[in-house]
Amino acid sequence: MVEEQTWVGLARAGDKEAFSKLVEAYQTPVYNLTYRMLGNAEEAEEAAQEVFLRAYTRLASFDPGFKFSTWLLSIASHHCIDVIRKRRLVWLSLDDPMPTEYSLQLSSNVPSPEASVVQSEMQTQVQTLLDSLEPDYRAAVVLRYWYDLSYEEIAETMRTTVSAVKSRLFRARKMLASAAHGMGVGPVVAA
Amino acid sequence: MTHEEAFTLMMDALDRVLSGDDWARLDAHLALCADCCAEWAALRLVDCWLSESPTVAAPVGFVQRVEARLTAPALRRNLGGLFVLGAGSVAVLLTVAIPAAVTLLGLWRAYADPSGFAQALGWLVQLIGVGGSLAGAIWTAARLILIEASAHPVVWGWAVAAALAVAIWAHLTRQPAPAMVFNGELS
Repeated sequence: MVEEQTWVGLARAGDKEAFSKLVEAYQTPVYNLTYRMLGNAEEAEEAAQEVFLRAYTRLASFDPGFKFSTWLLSIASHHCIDVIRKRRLVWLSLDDPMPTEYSLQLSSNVPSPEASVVQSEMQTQVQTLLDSLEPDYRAAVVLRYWYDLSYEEIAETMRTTVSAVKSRLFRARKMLASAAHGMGVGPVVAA
Repeated sequence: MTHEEAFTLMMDALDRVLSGDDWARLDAHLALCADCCAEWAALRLVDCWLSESPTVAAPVGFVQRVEARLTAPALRRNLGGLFVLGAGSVAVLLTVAIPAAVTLLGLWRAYADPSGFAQALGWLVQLIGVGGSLAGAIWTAARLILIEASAHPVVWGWAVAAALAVAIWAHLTRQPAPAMVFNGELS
């Protein structure tokens, strides 16, 4: 943490090497968020790079008294929401990569082939479920489940209220349960 | 207990904040309500999937690619600045310098050869006459088209539909300002 504060301080003074240290430290959290939000590797990398570039150009506005990770994830989640909203305007995007077509590079240990198949299938379903959510709901779910953020932290990250976060997660979970049923998995659920 | 109350308890259960008493109330309700029981099973399944989903690691070489882009914007900004400077210079040249030079040349030639000035004045009068005729023809044509179109509601309907389509498209493609958050405050 002390190291991080030093890097942030140096980066704010224009030290690119220090900023590279921050990129190295946060590449996976940021990439995972963009990946979970956007659903495909290519867009996720582009978005994650953009997040770091934005962070670098706006470092002067960062208050070192607050958590750098929250600030960075905030930039990432808002950028992804913007990307998703803009993507919807591309009406003839029939050649969009399908969320199921990706080669995940998981940060956990490499599983056995059988476990790998099961895991891959589950990941496909998880991503399909996430893609069925509105971007604001998706961000709340990702921040809750992958980053273990509290409602207060999610509210801070998404610039909203705690009650709004609760409401989004409430509805998102309900939608996910319904979507899971729609995919033919899980029990019968009234939407 | 209503379904909504039960669902609220289910949310608390998923957040691991449900008290023992509420667990007992929820269990009692689930034992009697098949709909809530099915919903609870689906919620737990999704919760389990999400909780067990691994973090996806950044691809190899990601840091290097970010570093490469960190230096690229400065170059792009410089190129952009040069382009703006060049375009501005050309615009000034076309709108100010060249007309000024032509005017000065004309004045000098008129001063040097008064007969040539009279001839140039004649050409200018002819040019204004031609321009006036053209403008008149365009005005007449537009007026006739409007009169003709007003007799056909389909034309007006089409025009209104086109205007609406443009308005809707402009609304949909409106670019929101980048939403940046700085410690809970808009930056």
